[in-house]
Amino acid sequence: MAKIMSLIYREWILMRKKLLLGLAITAGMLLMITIIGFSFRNGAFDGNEKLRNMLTTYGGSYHAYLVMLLLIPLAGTSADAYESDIKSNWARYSLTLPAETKLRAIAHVLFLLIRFIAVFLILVAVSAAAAAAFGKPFAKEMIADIGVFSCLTLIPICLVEFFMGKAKDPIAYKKQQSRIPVAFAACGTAVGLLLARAMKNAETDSDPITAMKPLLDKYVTIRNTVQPFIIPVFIGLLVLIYVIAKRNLDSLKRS
Amino acid sequence: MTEYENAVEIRGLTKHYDGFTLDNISFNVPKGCIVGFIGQNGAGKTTTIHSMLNIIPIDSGVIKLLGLDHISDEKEAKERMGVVFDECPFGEVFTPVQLDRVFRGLYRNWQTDTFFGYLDLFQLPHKKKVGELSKGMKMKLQIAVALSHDAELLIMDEATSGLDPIVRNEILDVFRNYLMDGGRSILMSSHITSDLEKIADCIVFIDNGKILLSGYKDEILEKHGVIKCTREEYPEFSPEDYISARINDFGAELLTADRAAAAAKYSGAIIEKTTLEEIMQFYVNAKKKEWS
Repeated sequence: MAKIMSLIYREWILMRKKLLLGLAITAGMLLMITIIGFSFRNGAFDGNEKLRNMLTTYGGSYHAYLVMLLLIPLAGTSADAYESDIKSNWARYSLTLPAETKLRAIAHVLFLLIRFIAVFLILVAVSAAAAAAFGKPFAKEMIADIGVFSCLTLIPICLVEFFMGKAKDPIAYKKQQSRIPVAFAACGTAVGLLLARAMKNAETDSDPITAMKPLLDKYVTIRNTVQPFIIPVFIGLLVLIYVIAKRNLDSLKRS
Repeated sequence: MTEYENAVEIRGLTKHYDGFTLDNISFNVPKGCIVGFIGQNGAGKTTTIHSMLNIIPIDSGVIKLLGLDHISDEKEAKERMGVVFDECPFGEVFTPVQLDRVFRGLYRNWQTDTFFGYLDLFQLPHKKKVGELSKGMKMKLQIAVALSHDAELLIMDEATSGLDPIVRNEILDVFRNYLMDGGRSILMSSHITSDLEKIADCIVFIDNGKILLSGYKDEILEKHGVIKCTREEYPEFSPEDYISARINDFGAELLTADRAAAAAKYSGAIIEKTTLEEIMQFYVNAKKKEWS
């Protein structure tokens, strides 16, 4: 256990700057969204009623952004940790330590789980605070939403682990790294096109939230269907990441 | 705990790569000794060390570290040995204080007091990040880590390369103190033979994947000698009496592996003592026999 704790501590030191930066960027983006949201409504602060309505309207967007902005950096930090380990030659040095690859892969996945739990708690706390601020009951569906987004976030993490783990030296790392933005840009374009297709029947003069209503309804249906599978899928993806991480570490011995 | 005579025992180690073969090599690192593992770049030193550490799988052979099998007892062996590479492997964001916390959990016998003792001895700041340290300081930090878990065997792969002579001397002093406890041993791979002449008890010389020479350093230096002669005198020396000959404008230099025998056979010949570096050069060119 002491070895796992040490390895987790090491990963925390390695990633903490980026993780904290991710949090700061999230806070900044939310502030920006708020300002842009108010600007769209002609910057009018003419009474509590309107402010309340506006905040309610943008509440959904806030949550979606919050979930994405907090979860996406988790994928990025895994790549950063690989970069640092390859640059410093830790990958080779770690093979001289009395810690088996199994143990190191477990520590790696456990730290990922800890990060997800931390993000989960932040999101639940923000949701609860937002619900309390508007005098509404806490939406338990939010927990399922976080679960869905968490599973979705684990997929790019799997890919990052898979591709980055193939790199055994800084040159190979750069080559692998250059593929990630391309992959993300392609995924972003695909998601954008799918959203546009889903919203094509919306009234032209409706606001974005109204336009997205059919899509959100569809999402809710899907979420309610997949809800019972979120935890097994999440655990399954963590196991997959463990397998990839262990394979990566074992392959260092063969290279 | 396993009793052992040799901290490292390598028998018939073979490893094939495309274009390079580590060819059936065998040598020992006797307990309590510093063994200098010398050879030019690409000779097979790092491949041997990586094989010992089970970083690469071997094709055949037996490797015992501290009396333990290097694969089946890998974890136990690694608990009891320290490794120093040519580059500092700790990420740039870590401070020595944080490294202490990392290694405290990783090594069963990690000694925080010893670690900070070495940091003070090396005048390394406790809270400065690795990225802000000079190359010499990074190497000292790596050595401090390797020596702070009561390691019985220290393996160093080109650890002193790229360091200035003052830092290298400081480090050699630390190794001398480390060896004061008779149960400890060092395998030091380097192509800076002057360091090994100062500190090593034994020498293993590898070239092109084969061990060309191994034994006690003093015996090697005592036995080998350089015969100096003119170009006209050079043909008088029988090729089997020397390893190779360096021919230059001023004459010829021939390395003999048996100085006493050469002195007896070629009375009047000038035979001088030699250095590890010269021995290395003459052996590397042994196939050519003549070189300049």
